[in-house]
Amino acid sequence: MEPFDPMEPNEELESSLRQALERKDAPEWFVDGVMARVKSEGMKPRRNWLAGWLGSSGWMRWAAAVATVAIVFGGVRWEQERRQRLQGEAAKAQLMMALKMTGEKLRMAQVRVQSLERDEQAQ
Amino acid sequence: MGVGQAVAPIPGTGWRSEAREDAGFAAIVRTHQRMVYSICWHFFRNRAIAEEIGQDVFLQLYRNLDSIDSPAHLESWLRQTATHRCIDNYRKKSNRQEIPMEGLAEPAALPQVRDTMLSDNLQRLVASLPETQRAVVILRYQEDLDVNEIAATLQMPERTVWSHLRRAIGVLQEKAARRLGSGPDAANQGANQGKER
Repeated sequence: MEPFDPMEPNEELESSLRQALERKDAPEWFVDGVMARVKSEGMKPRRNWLAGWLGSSGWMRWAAAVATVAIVFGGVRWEQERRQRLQGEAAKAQLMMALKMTGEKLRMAQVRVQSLERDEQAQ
Repeated sequence: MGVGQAVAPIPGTGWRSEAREDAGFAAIVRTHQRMVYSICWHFFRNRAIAEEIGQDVFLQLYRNLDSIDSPAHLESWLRQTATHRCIDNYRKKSNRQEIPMEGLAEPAALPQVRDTMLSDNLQRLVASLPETQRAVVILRYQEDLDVNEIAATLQMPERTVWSHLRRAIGVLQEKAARRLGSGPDAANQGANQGKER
């Protein structure tokens, strides 16, 4: 036989191959087998770990939903309190700094006044 | 309407809910089972494996109905999934099957018998090809796909498909010629050689 050239296919071999590779009928029970597997395995792999953990019972889903809402609200509240506390601490630090600077200035002024008083008495 | 009489739902508006019902999905399976089963059977020449992989393909379809948007897409999706599943399964060592060449039937003198044996031998020869060449040959001669369609199905360049096809046909020609001869005289000669062994 001549070597296969895709541009000039060997018609005899191609025809034999088409005949040999004709579609075959699936067994009679094939459809039932597929449907049985669809019923037993259906959408299993699509369920994520959370869905698998929760199962299909309604009260578990409600409990999970309530817990999720509680966690979200608790988290928001905690975040708000944390921000307020940080803001309060920053304000307190600023106040302390301002008081410290004021005290320092007052002390310097007092020293200056005392110095002037001493000069006057000396004269 | 019973499961056995249902007409396959056609992809379009609202078809998915219909396809998810037992009758609808069974009708889809019934419509396409021949194609899917044949791809798997010609790949492995084993009924049990073909059945198992074929069922896997339809199960995967059931889980992916949302991604199907037209009848043509449904058919090409099934063809592609079946072919890839066959290649993947073959690559798993446990499913590897060596097709013994010694078991090939010898050609007989009667034309009808010879045709049947030729087909049987060609099926065995195809099933003994490396997995990608096998897939290309099955898609080309069972599914009657063009090279560009095979390339799309196997997700490879057309040139690679040509290369696999050329190599596969070369091997098949060589083995078939060695085993069967190219004409009636050669076939008879092959039969005589077979008897001598």
